[in-house]
Amino acid sequence: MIKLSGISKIYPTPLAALRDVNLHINSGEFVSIIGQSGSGKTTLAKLLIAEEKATKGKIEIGGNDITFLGSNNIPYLRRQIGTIFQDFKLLSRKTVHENVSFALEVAGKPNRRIKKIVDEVLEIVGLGTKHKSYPRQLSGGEQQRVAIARSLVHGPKIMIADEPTGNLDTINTEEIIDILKKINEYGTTVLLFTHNREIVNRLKKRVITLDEGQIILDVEQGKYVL
Amino acid sequence: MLGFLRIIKYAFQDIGRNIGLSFMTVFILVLMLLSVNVLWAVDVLTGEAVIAVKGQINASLYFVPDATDEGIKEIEEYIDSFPEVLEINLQSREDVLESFKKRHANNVEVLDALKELGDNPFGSTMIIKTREPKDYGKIITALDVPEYDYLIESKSFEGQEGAIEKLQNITSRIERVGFGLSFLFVIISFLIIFNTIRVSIQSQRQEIGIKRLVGANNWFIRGPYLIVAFVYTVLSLALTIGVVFFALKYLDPYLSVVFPNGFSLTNYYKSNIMMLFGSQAISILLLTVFSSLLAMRKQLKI
Repeated sequence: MIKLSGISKIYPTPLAALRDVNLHINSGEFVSIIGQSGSGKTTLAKLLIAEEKATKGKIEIGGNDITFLGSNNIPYLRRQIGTIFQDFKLLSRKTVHENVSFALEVAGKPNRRIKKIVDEVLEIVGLGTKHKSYPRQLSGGEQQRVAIARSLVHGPKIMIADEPTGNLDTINTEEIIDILKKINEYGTTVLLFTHNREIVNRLKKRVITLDEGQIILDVEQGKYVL
Repeated sequence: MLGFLRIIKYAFQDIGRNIGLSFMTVFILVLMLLSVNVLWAVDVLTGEAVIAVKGQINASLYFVPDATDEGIKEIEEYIDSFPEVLEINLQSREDVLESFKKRHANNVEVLDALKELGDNPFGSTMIIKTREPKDYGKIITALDVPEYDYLIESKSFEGQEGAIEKLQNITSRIERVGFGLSFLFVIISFLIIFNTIRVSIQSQRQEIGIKRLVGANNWFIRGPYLIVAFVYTVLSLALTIGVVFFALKYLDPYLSVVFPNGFSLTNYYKSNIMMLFGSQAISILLLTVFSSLLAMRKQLKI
């Protein structure tokens, strides 16, 4: 599903954010990618959604080389990968419903279908009654659920979650992780980028540990060992 | 088509949900357009004033009382042959006498003195108008020939040469200052509008990034801003037209006093409406669209 071969990302500083990373993630896996701040987690997430370009190496997703994807094709890649972030990245001047439907509208889906899908995913994440609210009227946990709903509307094969619980309290953190587990159970590959020890230890899934831009550990049913 | 309709929907959502900034942008655009129109009106009025003053200038040839009709006719034909000459008006001896009497109708002494003379002491008068004030010198010089000396008693133009030169200097200076002011104003307005739109788009930098992340292509992001620019242009132009015509309604009565030839700024604006507001619409649209595209260029590289 996801294959990284000899990936390096060097910034002009010169600072190597990633060095010779080789990685293979199978379809349907739930993988936690851990590491301390500056270990290269976010750079790796950005490479996977083509927000950054690798300096060296090759990235394949579903058998397609996306390493040097042209800017015209990037939107199509992003419509196939669900993404959620620590800061939720919601459109502040759009309602919950509009935030979620926007992802489908840009893909040219018809209005009736959009309404059906959006209503469904908002029910799944428990926000069916708050579809008219603006992000500022929601709690952090609710905002993250909106982001999850938005990432689900395309029925993505891959979900990238970059520190999704970084701004949440314990209860909301558990809720979000439960939703991610559910998404994974339905067959979506989930990549969870985090430095939350408790979550990783409780998940008992594959753990990849990054340090100074390199993979230092890759363990099935691993634990947070840093 | 569906995509285009959605872009229009986003544009109107952006305007409505950011009403403060929308109002401010339209307000600045209206102020800019009003200032341009004031400069334009001043330029038109200056031009009209110069035409009015030029219209008052003429050269008069005063013939001796015993000048023959043939002689006068010959001079008239000679003057008429100059392409610079616009109009020749010949007043006969009798017309001149009548006009003199009318002018001094309340002055008994002058009328008595005229009676004392018995005969009509006036010769015919020829009033000449040229296209440009500078042409009078050429006509007068052309008449300074010995063949006509015995027919022409005096010429009245000499005294006006200085005034005409002064008028021309003032006119060209006003034109230069007006052009300079307009140019300066256009630059200042451009910078204000450009920065207003740039700040507005940069404040939405994060939103543009988010739209990119959820898979919106560049046109889905640019489109609403371009539609917004178009709406701002239409709104500001409509408001400006309303304010301009409202102001002209109150200004025209005063202008009719200054310009007795019936010049009206309202009529001028009405007869040039397409040119005046069309050029302003195109300029504002180019300015807003260019500013939007330039401000977005950086954000779209995400």
